[in-house]
Amino acid sequence: MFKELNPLLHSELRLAVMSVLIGVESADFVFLRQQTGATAGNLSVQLDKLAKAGYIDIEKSFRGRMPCTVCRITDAGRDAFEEYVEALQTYIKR
Amino acid sequence: MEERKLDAQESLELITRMIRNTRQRLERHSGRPFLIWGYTTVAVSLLNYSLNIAGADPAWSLSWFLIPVLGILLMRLFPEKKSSEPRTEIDRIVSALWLVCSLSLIPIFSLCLFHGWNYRPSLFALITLVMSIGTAATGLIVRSKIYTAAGFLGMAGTAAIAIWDFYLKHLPAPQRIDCYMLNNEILIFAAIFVVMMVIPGHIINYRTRHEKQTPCSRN
Repeated sequence: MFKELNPLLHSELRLAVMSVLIGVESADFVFLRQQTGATAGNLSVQLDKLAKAGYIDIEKSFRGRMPCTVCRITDAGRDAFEEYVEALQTYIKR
Repeated sequence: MEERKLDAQESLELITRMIRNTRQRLERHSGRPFLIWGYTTVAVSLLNYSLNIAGADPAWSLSWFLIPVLGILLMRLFPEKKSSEPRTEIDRIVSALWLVCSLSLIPIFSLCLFHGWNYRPSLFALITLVMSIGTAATGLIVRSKIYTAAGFLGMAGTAAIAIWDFYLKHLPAPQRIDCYMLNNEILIFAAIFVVMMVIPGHIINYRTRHEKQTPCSRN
């Protein structure tokens, strides 16, 4: 029996962001952009979607005079990611 | 990267690739604190050695307290360059390890205040032991052969100081400990820090600079 995949995570860019954040304490916007290769606009939109779902926390501040956006995964995000990977396994095993 | 749907295999490959990319940061950029604390300790040791040679009483020397003062000052004066690299779980573990090591040095340094009553140079061995444990553990955590080897060399140096100390304490009465013998201990102490912190710090910094110039070499 296939488990349903979380539609919020089952998108290339959002899944990439969550995969990066699962392995670090926090990561800033520049790093996420480098790792995913996404455009700033698209990444910003997807980060907002993840934040609204409560999967990540976004902290906006300034580093010197440059704006700095730091993201970190929440407990809810970690749980959702684990469930997503478990659901994926049901597809791979068949 | 677009907002497109993936199949199960693609999803797993993406997760694996992203996690692997973020795990690349291990020993990079970790040379700076080793150089600052290594050079500070060596400089203050040589200062104390010179003072002792000049005839100052080593028993009440407060100049050793320059190590934490200068070290903290230099760490603030030369902060880590801000980069977009994330803070990983490994960074947190290494920070926690050095916090514990630093806190354990406080009572050891405090004991230096009582040197005047009963001069106990084995405090050198305690300090090098704490620092070598910190260095070796850092090496094992970040999978750096250089730091691991440096830490274990530091432990060997600690044993050398302890044996020297044991030798001094068991000298027969006519051969009382003289200033020359105690000063040798300071030189061993400084040499341990050169091997354990200064040299590995330079090697790691060199590697980091070299990697930055050839970013494709990691692929």
